[in-house]
Amino acid sequence: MIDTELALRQLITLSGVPVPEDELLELIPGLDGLIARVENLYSVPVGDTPPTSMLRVEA
Amino acid sequence: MDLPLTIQDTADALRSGAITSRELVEIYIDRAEVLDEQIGCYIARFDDTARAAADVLDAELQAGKDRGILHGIPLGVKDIIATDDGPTTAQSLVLPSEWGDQGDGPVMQRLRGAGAIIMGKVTTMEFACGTPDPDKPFPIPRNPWDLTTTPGGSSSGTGNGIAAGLFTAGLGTDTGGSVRWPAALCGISGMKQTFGRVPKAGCVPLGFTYDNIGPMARSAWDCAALLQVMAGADESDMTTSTIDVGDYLGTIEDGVAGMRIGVDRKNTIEQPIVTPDVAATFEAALAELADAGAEIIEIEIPYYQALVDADIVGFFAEAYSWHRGYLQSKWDDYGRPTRQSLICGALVSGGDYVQSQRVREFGRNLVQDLFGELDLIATPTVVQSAPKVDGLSLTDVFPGIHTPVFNSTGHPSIAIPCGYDASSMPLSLQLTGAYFQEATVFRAAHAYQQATSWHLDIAPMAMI
Repeated sequence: MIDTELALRQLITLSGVPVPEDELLELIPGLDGLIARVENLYSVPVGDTPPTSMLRVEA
Repeated sequence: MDLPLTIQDTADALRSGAITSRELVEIYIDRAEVLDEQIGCYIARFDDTARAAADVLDAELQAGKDRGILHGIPLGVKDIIATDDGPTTAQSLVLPSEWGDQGDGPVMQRLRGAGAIIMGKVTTMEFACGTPDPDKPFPIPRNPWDLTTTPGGSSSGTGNGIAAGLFTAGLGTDTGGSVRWPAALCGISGMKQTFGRVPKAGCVPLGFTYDNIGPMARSAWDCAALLQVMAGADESDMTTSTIDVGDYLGTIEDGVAGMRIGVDRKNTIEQPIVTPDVAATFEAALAELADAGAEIIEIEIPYYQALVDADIVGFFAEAYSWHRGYLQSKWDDYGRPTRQSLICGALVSGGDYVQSQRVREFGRNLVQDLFGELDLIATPTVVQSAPKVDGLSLTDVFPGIHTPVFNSTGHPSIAIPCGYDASSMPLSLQLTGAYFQEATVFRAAHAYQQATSWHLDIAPMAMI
């Protein structure tokens, strides 16, 4: 089980952005939604599809 | 004379001598004096340069020089797009004042060259994300249809300014729906064309591979007239396409007879948050298209939710890459909702971002394959009308907005008014075409607007 708050604190520390403690605590409830979106991306059977590095729709 | 509502009617009035461009500009300035304080449209007005431009354009028209359909048409410009007329703020204390000194980018140059008049810079959500922060010194945009509600965003001021009659048309930007959502909530039309169709130089980036500068106006016809001028490759933007732009107005009267329109109800109108009045309005819009000769076909957009997620995860990461330095040095200068959105990009790993782009590549090809059998895809633009300004939360409203999927795929989508919900607030139909088939999208939207008049309805507070 990921400790969401710990992970958040580590990532924000790495970012170098001085997020005040009260706002950091406000971010935590919303993280479940972001985590769910990221997890959903890995549920798609993309196979060996490469990333769109810059979207070039005419290719 | 009555103020003409559309570019098409305004252009006719200018050429018939029923009105001059200068008179039009003065009417819009007078209306702004009365209405702007209530709706929070303008960040900066360019009254004097607009008057001067109008005088030049009137003189040209009198002398027989006609620059085309946009000659003498007043526009509002979202304040993340630089122009020669004045500063650019991105509705933020963070953006350095010198950023706007670059002046007109290619889109502004093209519009100005075609005779458009810039009335001013209009409100956005800060940096085209977040929600308004009342503690910052910027107007809070409100919806002319109900001043307690939002006009949507992030192209808020372009949407509410057109709906309130402060200018004829304007420019927004769209990274997840920021042209189409305010168009939907304000009862006007807004187009997000194929990614790469319009150069973005001179616009503050949000999501580099999702952003589009798009036209907003009363009608699809007007959006087509604007996009005709805006579109085309430019060396300043490596993502722009060299594919021929075509002639949008040349085929716009051709109707929808024989068109095959796929409808994805499962991912949109059949979701639990949809109320019967909203569903009925959408079905009535489809019936209009069917009556006009289109064939309506049930479909499902493949990997719909994943493509929405790829938009949001991807642009969070891209926005963070642009904002990281400012977040480090100017955290307090951002509005609270904005900085709390932007910092989420720090939580997306490199692998997660790459996965979002792999999903896009995978999904966009599947969606494009649908157009082997279809001319268009129809969905509601929104399934919830304008939410209240107080307590506005993008997290809460996102499930009711069906625009981001086409920022992930890059397909052209238009939002057009299609009626009202039980609270008499505007609702909207979204029509999406194959890559670079903007002409087909405009054709169908125009056919719908020939059969209906929702796009010409005026909000009660704007009837002055």
